[in-house]
Amino acid sequence: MASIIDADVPLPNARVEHIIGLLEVLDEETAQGQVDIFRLGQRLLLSIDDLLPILEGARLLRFVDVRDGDVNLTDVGREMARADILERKQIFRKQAVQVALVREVMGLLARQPDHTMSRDRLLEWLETSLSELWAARTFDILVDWGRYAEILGYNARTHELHLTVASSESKVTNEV
Amino acid sequence: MEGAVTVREQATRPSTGVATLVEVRGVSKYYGKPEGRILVLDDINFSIREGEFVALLGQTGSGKSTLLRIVMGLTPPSSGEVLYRGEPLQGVNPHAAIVFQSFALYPWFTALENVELALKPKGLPPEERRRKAEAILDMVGLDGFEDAYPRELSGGMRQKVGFARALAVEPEILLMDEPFSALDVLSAETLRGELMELWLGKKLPIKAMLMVTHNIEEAVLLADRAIVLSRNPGRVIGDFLIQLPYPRDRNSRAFNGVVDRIYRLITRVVAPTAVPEAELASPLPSGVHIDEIAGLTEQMLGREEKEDLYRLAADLHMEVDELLPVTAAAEMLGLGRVERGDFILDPLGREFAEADVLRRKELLRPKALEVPLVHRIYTVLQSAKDKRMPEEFFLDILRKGFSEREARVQLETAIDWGRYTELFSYDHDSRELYIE
Amino acid sequence: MQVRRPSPTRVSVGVADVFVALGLLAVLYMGVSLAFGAPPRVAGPTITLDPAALPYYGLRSLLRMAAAYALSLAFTLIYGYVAARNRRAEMVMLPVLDILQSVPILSLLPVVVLALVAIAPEGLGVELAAIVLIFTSQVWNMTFAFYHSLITIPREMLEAAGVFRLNWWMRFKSVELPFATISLVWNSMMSWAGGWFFLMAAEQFQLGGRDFQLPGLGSYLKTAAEQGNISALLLGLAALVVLIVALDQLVWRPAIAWADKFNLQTVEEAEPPRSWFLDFLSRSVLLEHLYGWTIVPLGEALDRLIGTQPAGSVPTSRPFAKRKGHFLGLIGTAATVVLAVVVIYGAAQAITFMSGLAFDQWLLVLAAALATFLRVAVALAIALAWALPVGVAIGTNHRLANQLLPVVQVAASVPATALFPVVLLLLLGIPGGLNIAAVLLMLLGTQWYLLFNIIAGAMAIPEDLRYTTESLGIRGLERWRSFILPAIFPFLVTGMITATGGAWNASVVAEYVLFAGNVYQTLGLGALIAGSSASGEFRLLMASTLTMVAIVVLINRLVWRRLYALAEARFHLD
Repeated sequence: MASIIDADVPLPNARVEHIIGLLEVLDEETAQGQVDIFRLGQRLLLSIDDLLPILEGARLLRFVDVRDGDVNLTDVGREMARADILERKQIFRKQAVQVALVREVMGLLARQPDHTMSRDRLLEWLETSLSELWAARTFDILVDWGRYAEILGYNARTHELHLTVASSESKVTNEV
Repeated sequence: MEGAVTVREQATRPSTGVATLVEVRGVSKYYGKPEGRILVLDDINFSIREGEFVALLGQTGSGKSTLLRIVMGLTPPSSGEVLYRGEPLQGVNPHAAIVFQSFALYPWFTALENVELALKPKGLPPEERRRKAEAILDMVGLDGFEDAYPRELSGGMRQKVGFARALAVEPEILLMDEPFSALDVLSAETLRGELMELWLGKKLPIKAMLMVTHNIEEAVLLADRAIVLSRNPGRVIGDFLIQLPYPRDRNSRAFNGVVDRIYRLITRVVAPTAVPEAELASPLPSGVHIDEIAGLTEQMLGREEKEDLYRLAADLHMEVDELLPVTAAAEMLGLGRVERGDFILDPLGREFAEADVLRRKELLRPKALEVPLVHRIYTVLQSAKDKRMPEEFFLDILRKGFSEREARVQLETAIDWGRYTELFSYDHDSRELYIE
Repeated sequence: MQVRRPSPTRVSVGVADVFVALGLLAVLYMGVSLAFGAPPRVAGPTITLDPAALPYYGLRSLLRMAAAYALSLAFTLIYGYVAARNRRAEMVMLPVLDILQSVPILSLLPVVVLALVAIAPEGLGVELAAIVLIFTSQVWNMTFAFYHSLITIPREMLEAAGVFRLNWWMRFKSVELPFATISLVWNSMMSWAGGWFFLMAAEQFQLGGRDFQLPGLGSYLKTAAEQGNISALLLGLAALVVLIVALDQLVWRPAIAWADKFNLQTVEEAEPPRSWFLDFLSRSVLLEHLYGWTIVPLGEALDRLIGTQPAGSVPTSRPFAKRKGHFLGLIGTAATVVLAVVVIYGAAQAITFMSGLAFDQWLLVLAAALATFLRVAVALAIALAWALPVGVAIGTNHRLANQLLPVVQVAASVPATALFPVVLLLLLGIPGGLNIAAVLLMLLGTQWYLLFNIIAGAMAIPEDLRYTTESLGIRGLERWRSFILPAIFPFLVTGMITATGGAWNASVVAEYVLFAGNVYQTLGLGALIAGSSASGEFRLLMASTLTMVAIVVLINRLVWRRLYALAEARFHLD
């Protein structure tokens, strides 16, 4: 079932390794139940401003539930926290393709010749619903998630984003 | 059994015929000309065997990073020697590799190219080189990031590239120089976990690891043996096994027991003659800055000798609760006292209030030195290398008797007093206290 | 733009300097003696003012510049590398470089030309002389910059190279050269800008009663000026501007955009430099294939051949290096003793030669020096007055900076010497016109160095410091005094040092002008140099040259570097 968040909302400033770190910490802390956001921030020595985007990223990927200022790991989240390095990538990939923006970008790329698109063009596309600043940030996170999940590849020299071979053949892309 | 300061705790490792990789014998290192030379390391002796994960622990100034470089062969010891598998080192050790604190990646190469660079001196054909590099990047979980430049990667991933690069040359021993210090908490968490996963799962082609760190908790979390160094100069003051089962629980009593033991070992050697707990017994009034105290004394100038606290508070636009810490601070510095609901300005306080800035500093300086925490900071800094100490050192002491938050406030207050009286200062960027 | 704070160098005159000065004396003397043996007349090709000749002249000038640059680059890489990696060599090489960069190039012109003409066939001799001259205007800042890059490589990067056993070749190719690239690119740009300035002067001149000229834009413009042909003058200028803009778009912009990948900054800049030409080239599949077939295998072969040799010791990094002149440590070596003897002999000869100069001629030199000094001071004051506010305004606004810098660079490249005839035309009618024109030329030739450095300094002001100052509401004079000036001071000083040298250099072309068949000159050291070389009075030439060198070096050491050291102490730089 696709996420209800649509492409109007930018991706939060949450890098993969921060999300993973968060899940590991939550795995420890939530052994006895939920954790309150404020306490989590203190434990991680992070200000709320820094913690919230990461939480939001984890939530978007359905690794955590956030309710009334308390955080809880989902089953997938706990699985992710305890998985080994390679398993993590697979789990992440499964969750990432459920995010609407990711699916839309994959579909967009699939329709391009060579499944490739320049950064400038993708930014233009993003800017139809996001501000310039948010578009740029979303792009960076998209690349980070995409690379980790091995869905996307990015060549910084030619500024080109492309679909990896594996994902161009996947059902997911072709569904969009 | 803790006895004299120089007691070294020895590891009793079972000698099971496991090969010794590194042997450090009588290594000392000094800098500078013979007359005024600075001794950084003093007669270091230890060995590392296959299968060990050793943490080299010490505060700043313990020479631990220097020791690591000596083991690597990057810099020679001033005296003593390092043996690898029984042979003395000739230049750089070909069986070791380092993971650096600041990653030391070359920003003009992609992740793949950075790893490949380490393989270039071996003269492998390009395809084989690329394959090896890709395989190792995959192993550390960076598949998909091969063509990323370091600036596109977050800190933890950059360090992963650093690991991949070091592992690519298939060293027998992996040396790490504070590998997680430059990372934020979350990235460090992730990376530590993944490193242990690879190490414990025997997926790494290496036989032993030596990690330099100043973070005691980190050492106890990861290593199975801790070598503890003192400071100025660095000497081995402890060398023992950490026999806790993996995965280790930070909240368990056993874990905290080990951390405590190491902590006491380190601070015991450094502690000055002052009574250790004085600064915990008589804390500074929280967050009271000198200018507030100055303001109080100035207010008192136009009045009779004593003034009712409530009236004083009202005139200063404060609540009495807010005023009390200020009066307590003034009392601590000998400027006045509180008696039966009144604040009385002492002669020193009057002189202070009427003096100019320079005179005020002079007046306050000896008084500030009588305050235990300020005194402690001052004496420690006096004997520290470069007269600098990271704030963490003092915070660790304070944490024994205060909450995290309160410990920080105490230190911040002491720094304010120290700065005002020009006894010591604080470097915000490096988070160090120092005497100029 | 890579902004790296310039490092301080020695403040006062040391033993090494004296030695080098004596050496310089000896060399100059040798050149002059050679000059006596030069053939009586060197006829050059006649310069036509036909516009159709412009492309050819442009090409010749360009080739000359390119040859000089190639020479400079080779020199930089070798000299800079040896000085940075060999402590002993460094002790000699740096003082030599230091003094050489203070020598006004145009005063070397006569000596170089005559010496080369005496050795080589006529046409070639003059051509080589021009190239050598351009070389001397380009090379010093590049060498210093490269040396500085090499000694400030982050320690852990060098250690990593040691850990992975990269030998000198792999380290040079993969670490040292890339690290220095941005600095090299920017310094190359500056060198070319300076080079154009001197090219114009080097292509046509009179020396000891003889005429020298080379086919090129510089001689075209000079001939046009001499004949008073305004339309030709303007055409020539136009051609020059076109050439410079073309170079900018096809060479420099792409180079800067490409060099961005060597930027050490850990966060991707919001607006990295872009070049349409580079983008165009990078889309060329053919080019990519060519690269893959030639450069890559060549690199691999070299790496396999040289890179697999065992590695030597790991070089140390000295980020806060202060260059010390402990020259005495080298005296023990026999080679230095021999060198010392030769130098002293040559210097002695030179001094005897010069002592033939009449006392009132020395007075003339001193008076001229004073006059030029005043002119330089005025020019620098004006330059500072406008470059400071404008530079700070541009530099603190990064967006504006990125847009305006290219424009400024092109403007700076257009040599003032080419514009000079036009300026002169306008000012000759006014009493004291030549004086004003001279100051103007000096100004035009040097203000850009100052502007560049100030912009660089302003760009280097850390963001958070700026915000803090703004939020504290510090404005106006206070803002300048306590915040801006301390921050840009080292860059300001560097700019002043370069500008000072440039202004004195320019005096040689500014104070003595050949225009429409007449000689116009004013009292000044530059005029003395130009005049005495034109009339062949070599004693006077030598005396004036040495005086100029001495003044420039002294000002640099006693004024600018002192200020720098003072600023370092007061403002806690670094």
